[in-house]
Amino acid sequence: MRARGSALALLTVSPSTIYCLTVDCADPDRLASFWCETLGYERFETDLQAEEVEIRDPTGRGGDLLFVPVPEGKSAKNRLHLDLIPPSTIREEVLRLEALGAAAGEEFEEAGWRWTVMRDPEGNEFCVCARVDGSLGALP
Amino acid sequence: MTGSSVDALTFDCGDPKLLADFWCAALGYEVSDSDETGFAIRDPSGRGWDVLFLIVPEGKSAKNRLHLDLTPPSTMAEEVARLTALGATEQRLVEEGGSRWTVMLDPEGNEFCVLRSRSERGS
Repeated sequence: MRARGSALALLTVSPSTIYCLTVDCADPDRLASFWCETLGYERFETDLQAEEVEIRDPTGRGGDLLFVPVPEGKSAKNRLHLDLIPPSTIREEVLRLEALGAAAGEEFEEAGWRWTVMRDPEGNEFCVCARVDGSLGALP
Repeated sequence: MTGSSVDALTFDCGDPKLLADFWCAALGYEVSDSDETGFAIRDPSGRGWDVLFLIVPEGKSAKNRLHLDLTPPSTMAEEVARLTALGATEQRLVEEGGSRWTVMLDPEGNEFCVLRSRSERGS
């Protein structure tokens, strides 16, 4: 792969910033608890609608996650998912997240990365990833 | 115990370059990597999540369960107009619980919302 320049001309216009990643769900409280434990995030109070739960990284990095109740269930593989780097090895983190209510799926190795596909307690896909050369995350 | 950290938000898509160009312009990101399977973009300030666009064979079949909410730099209306010129589609304006936002679709139909700016929210 090679790095490429982006549309520099457009950068002269101030861009939007990501406020949060919103997750449609059946049980915002349960899913927020799972993702707080998974990412080390914390809940915080905002001017939210009833039943909505917002969580953030206490170190201030990255975006917030907002869980909102919707009437419809999940009907297809999500087109968006989070890729996570574990604090330990992939295997240890998969076991920890299974104990929190996630389900582990297939393992892959491709283009210098190894990852395990998982599903959160409402079936949302995410991946636990590490670089095979050990530069990010750890194996096995 | 320390948790996992978010490495990236990944979009399944049909045309990674199309989406990478759109989201770079929307967020002020830059392309950090690309090959025949996808594009990676990053926030040059290092604050925001990296975003990946990977080719998948299947198309979008339902409303996404995950979407991005964006804070515009100026006003919601100006940002909706700018993003429309970049290839997004304005879907609807939502007013709920004293709040207001615009639902938009990116060039592959992925839903996202443009919120009111901080000044419009009076904070």
